[in-house]
Amino acid sequence: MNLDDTLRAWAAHEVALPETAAEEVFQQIVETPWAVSPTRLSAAQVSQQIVGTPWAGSPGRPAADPVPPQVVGMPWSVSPRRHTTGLNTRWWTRFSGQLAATVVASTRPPMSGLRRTAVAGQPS
Amino acid sequence: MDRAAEFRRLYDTHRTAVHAYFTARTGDRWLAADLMQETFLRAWRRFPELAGRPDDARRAWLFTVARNLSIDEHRQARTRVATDAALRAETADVAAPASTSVIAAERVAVVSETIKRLPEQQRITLTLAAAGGLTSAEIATALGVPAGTVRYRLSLARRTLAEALSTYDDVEQ
Repeated sequence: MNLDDTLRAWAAHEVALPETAAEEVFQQIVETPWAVSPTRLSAAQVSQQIVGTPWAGSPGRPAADPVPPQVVGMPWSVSPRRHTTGLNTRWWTRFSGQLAATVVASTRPPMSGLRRTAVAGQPS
Repeated sequence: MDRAAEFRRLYDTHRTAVHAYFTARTGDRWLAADLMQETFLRAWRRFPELAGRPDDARRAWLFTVARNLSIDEHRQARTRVATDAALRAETADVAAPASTSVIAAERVAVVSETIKRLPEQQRITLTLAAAGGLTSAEIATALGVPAGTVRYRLSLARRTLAEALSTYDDVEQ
């Protein structure tokens, strides 16, 4: 077995992606709408997820969504390791960032009120 | 030809090389599959623009996206230590092929370990040639380096592998 044969065997065993996985990737791509980002959530979707998250429950809000929030973005991962861990870390990073931004934005006082206060405080 | 069929041709032509590139960069073939998916997803969205280009230009476009994605991936707290850990973890996952002899399997293991220790540029170049099925000229287009540089890197990498195999053979005899 010379070097080229050994390299071929190495490529087959350690690098090559199984055909089924490659086909799955292809199908997921072509099912994607052209202009809509599959991984980026809209503000409405983020709000919906916050409402549906068990720890975000408050009076007047709907009951917690029985589906864990991390399932929403999962179809974009083909990694079996990620499926086994149950959490796509790439998706989670993006989601938690958006979640934090939404929470921060929702706790800010309205801009118009601030402006009114500032204007009222100025000497006339 | 409809859009999906034409995209299929692009995907089938370049997916092995793009995946090999990401595997060489990350040391994890499943992470590489995710990054490959992201690369082709961008190609799918920009396909009307890509469709009219020649194969070399498409390859260059795909590898530009791939380079940017792997840089982003690296920035996202994937340190060299983590990559090395993934490389080591992959070793444990790889079972000896049933159809080859023990010695052949051991030689593959020697090559595998040696490739992991190669400088990154040599590892990427060698992986694109051996697993991606690209010629030196195609690798040059993909990586945006002169073909002479590709040949030099390949020659260094192959020499290192040959030395490692020779050492293994000496020990075995």
